[in-house]
Amino acid sequence: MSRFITIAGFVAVGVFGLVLAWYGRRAPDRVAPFGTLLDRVMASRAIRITIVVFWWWLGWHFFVVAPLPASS
Amino acid sequence: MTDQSWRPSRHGETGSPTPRVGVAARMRLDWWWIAILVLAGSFQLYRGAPVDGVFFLAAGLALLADAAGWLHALDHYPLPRLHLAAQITLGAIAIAVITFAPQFGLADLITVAVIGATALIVAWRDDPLPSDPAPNREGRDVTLRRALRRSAVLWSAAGIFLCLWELGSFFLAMPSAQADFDHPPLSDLLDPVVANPVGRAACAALWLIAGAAFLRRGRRS
Repeated sequence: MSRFITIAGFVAVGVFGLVLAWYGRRAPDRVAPFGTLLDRVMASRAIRITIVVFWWWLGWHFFVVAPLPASS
Repeated sequence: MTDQSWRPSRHGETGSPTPRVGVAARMRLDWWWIAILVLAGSFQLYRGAPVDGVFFLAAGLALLADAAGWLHALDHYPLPRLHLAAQITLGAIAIAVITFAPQFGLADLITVAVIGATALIVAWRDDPLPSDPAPNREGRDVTLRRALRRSAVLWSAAGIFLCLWELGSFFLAMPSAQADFDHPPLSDLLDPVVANPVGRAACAALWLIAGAAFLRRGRRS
């Protein structure tokens, strides 16, 4: 049950993101589309570098670093 | 609307060197992001990933130095323009290497490191903001600002929830293998997908497309 709840939490965020992306395109006057938001925030170097570092780290984490063995 | 509040002048309003004003303004806007990088780096050190921690902390320190005006010389520099076909070809090569080279090997490390260094060099440079087709329509600006604020709040809430959920899973998974099974962090759920060559190719393609999209946003070119 705990495993189901944990996975459901991750799925819920993904679904929320998809709904938000869809709603942003459908009603841009109420919720700005994700692209428009990115256009604004990425104009700041601090935000740009932070987002790019997190993005890059995902690649590093999944493609370069072998997963740690589970606790015994 | 060209909302310059996102990017205050490092030299004050008139363009003359007034470093104190510039530093204070930059720090007011940037400290959140510097703090996020320092927090992420500290957590990576805590979880036993010192290399990952150093990346985040180095980025935080670089932004701190930039806010202090010490990296002013690196504001603008020439970047070679690469045709879209060349970008797609290089991306395809990177995906092929990540997919077919031995997993977690030297080829993966070099490929991801080169991509990261390139992305950071491109991201660091300040470009002019994209021009707005209707800059002076006040009603439109107010509507857009409200929509942007709502969007920022909702996306931030989703991001914060994801981070807290992942963090909670990480700590709950620590005590034992059973706890790890009961509370799998996102990495544990995605690792089997990445272990499969088809899944790895799809993840690499998604990762590169997302990175390219991030680098194109908020700039004219």
